[in-house]
Amino acid sequence: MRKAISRITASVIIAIILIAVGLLVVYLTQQPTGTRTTPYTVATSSPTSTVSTQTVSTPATKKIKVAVLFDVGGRGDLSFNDMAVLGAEKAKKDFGVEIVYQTPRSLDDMVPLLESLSKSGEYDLLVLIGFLWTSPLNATADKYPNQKYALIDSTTGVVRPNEVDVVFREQEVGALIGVIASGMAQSLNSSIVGAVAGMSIPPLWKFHIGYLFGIKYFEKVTGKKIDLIWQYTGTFTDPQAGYKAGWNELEQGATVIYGLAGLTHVGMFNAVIDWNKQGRGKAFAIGQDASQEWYAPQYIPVSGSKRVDVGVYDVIKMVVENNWRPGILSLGVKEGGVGVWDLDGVRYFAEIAYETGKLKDLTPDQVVKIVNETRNKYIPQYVWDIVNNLKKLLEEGKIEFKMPSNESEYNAIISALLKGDLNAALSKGSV
Amino acid sequence: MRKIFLEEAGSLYQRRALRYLLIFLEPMTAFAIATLINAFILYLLRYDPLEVYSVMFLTGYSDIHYLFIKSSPYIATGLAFSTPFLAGIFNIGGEGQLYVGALTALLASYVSRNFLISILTGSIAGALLSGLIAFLRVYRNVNEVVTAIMLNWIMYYITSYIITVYIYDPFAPYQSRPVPREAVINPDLMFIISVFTALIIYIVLFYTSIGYMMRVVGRSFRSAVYSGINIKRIMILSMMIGGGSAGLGGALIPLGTSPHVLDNTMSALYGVGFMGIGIGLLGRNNPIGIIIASIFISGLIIGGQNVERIIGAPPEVVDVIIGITIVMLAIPYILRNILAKRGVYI
Repeated sequence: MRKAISRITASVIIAIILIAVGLLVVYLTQQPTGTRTTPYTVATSSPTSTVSTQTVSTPATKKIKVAVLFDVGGRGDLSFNDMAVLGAEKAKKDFGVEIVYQTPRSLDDMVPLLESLSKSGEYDLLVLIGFLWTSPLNATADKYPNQKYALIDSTTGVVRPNEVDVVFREQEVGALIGVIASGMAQSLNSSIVGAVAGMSIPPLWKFHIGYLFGIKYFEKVTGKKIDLIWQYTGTFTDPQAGYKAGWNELEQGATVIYGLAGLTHVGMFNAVIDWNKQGRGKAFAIGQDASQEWYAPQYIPVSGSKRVDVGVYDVIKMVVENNWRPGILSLGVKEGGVGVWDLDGVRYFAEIAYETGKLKDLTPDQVVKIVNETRNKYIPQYVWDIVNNLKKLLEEGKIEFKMPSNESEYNAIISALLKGDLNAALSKGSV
Repeated sequence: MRKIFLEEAGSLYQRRALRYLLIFLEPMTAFAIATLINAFILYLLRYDPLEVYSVMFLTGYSDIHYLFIKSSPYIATGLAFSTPFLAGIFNIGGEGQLYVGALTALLASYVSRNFLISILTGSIAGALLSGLIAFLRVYRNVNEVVTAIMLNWIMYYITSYIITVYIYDPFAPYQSRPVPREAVINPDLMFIISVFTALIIYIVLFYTSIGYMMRVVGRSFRSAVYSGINIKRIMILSMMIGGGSAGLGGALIPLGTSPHVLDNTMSALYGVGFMGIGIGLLGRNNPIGIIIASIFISGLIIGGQNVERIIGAPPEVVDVIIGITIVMLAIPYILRNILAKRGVYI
């Protein structure tokens, strides 16, 4: 038995020696090159950032440092976190600010992380991505009045001089998509569109009002009747529920379904794909927030956008230009905060999906090509004209949507819209 | 044939000295090997190993309260693995017991508005769940690993369902309503409770007859039968102590950690139960060792979060480093256990 032990010790020693020798060999053969091949540094090219540093109006005595704190899960989510990187890298290029990223491990790591970063005072701005940061920010912001915070896509409901909450006007993107969905349904000789929504909560009420407004606006301009099947699944995380809701709507005759339920509506995408593949008819799905066309470009020709990147860029700009306006920063079509993803956006997300291995059968170029063809075929020019008219009204500020503050107000607006009273959804202007 | 290796070496005092030396030498060597492997991996990925390690160690152990918050649940889930392990049951269900503990403690806090009642509810729920696993193992001969893994997922989805559908916060529907202010406990108390639990379990295991019987069952099933120990009862009891501990860990998370809620993906709970297995092995299945191991690993995890911000390495790299460290530190103990089964004690 003594022999057996010495054999084990011997093999451990050999293993250590092997590792040491391996290390030595690598050190000697490969001189470390200064650049790291990580996605973090690849995205920026140093020449551009040095050039643009000079364009900053104030003489850079101290470089502005911004920390972007992701939602749990971090990069590669093909949604909020990746969009935040897009915006932050653009700000880095344009303003020469220093950007760092950090992913909290869980909801419970957010408060300690905020505390330690705020205490250090090292960063001029902390950008918090996603609604999960709402409660942690509420618990921290008052303690550090000198630390600036920006919360993206949520609001704490408290106005603080050191906090800006970036929110998006969901009604506006809903309205644009409503017109496009109606137009696509018309191209498929159908008059029913659908939506698979998450829970009945204020942001979804806004989507509902906008979407229905868009549909009724289309109806008013073209004189063709379009019906909406709106369904709450009660969850943002259950693809199975999304599949059932989507299938149900397809059986009721919906031909275009708008996904408004996060992970849940990925199930709806699958339902639409199956519906087409089983030859039950032609149907389309529409994504939301990030460009989701890459998931199935044949069947998802359009996505509504919620430009987290624009929000991140704008708050960094506020700090760089020393133009801090605390409170709520509301982004809509006018500010480029919401809209319909163009082909460049489609390509950007297809590329990330391709790099992370989620896009398997197609290349990003093919995705863009298929999307472009489908759009040309099923979204005729007259639809785009209506969309552009509506966009112009929103951009010029001629119309503004109401913000329902409670459920009865929301129901009142919906029933008025269903009766064809478009102006019931507007707080300013009329159509 | 059977030789007890250390017994041959010199006098009693020399043997004892050697044994204590081994206690320190062993983890040190394991850690050194882990560091070497990690350095090699980091080098291949083009990060400076020295820089990564200095960030992990310098920023990881600086905030004592954060360390308390992080390590308290790990102590509890470490005990949840180790106590049944000493009695010969492999409790991989710490994760599910953690979920059920967190959920029932949260529900109890809404009703009772008292932290003590909430914690007790959580512990009892965890104990009952693990009791079910042990019952099936003892009386129906169902493999406890299979039951436990299935129950983990069942509890995951039940907890998620209840948070999403019944106790969601109307202003933030992705998370539960917060724990009432009266039932909130601070990180110091959270840490004290878990350390206190570890000490009680230590005393039970090593200074009571029940603890002795548990260890006999774990060491040698036949001796236990021969000496008339009620094996079934002891196995169920050890499992229930473990489950109660995991339930306690789950209860501490919403009660002790700001913002005092559970989100619907349970990001704060996910993985804490599985980490308990590593912590238990790292602590040599000794409650005191588990406390030390929990603090050590918590610091690495806390410091590891900052690596992304300061150095730019993705968080997955840090996960790899922590994983390798845990595995390497656990290897000597596992090796010794395997050798002991073959009659070699070192």
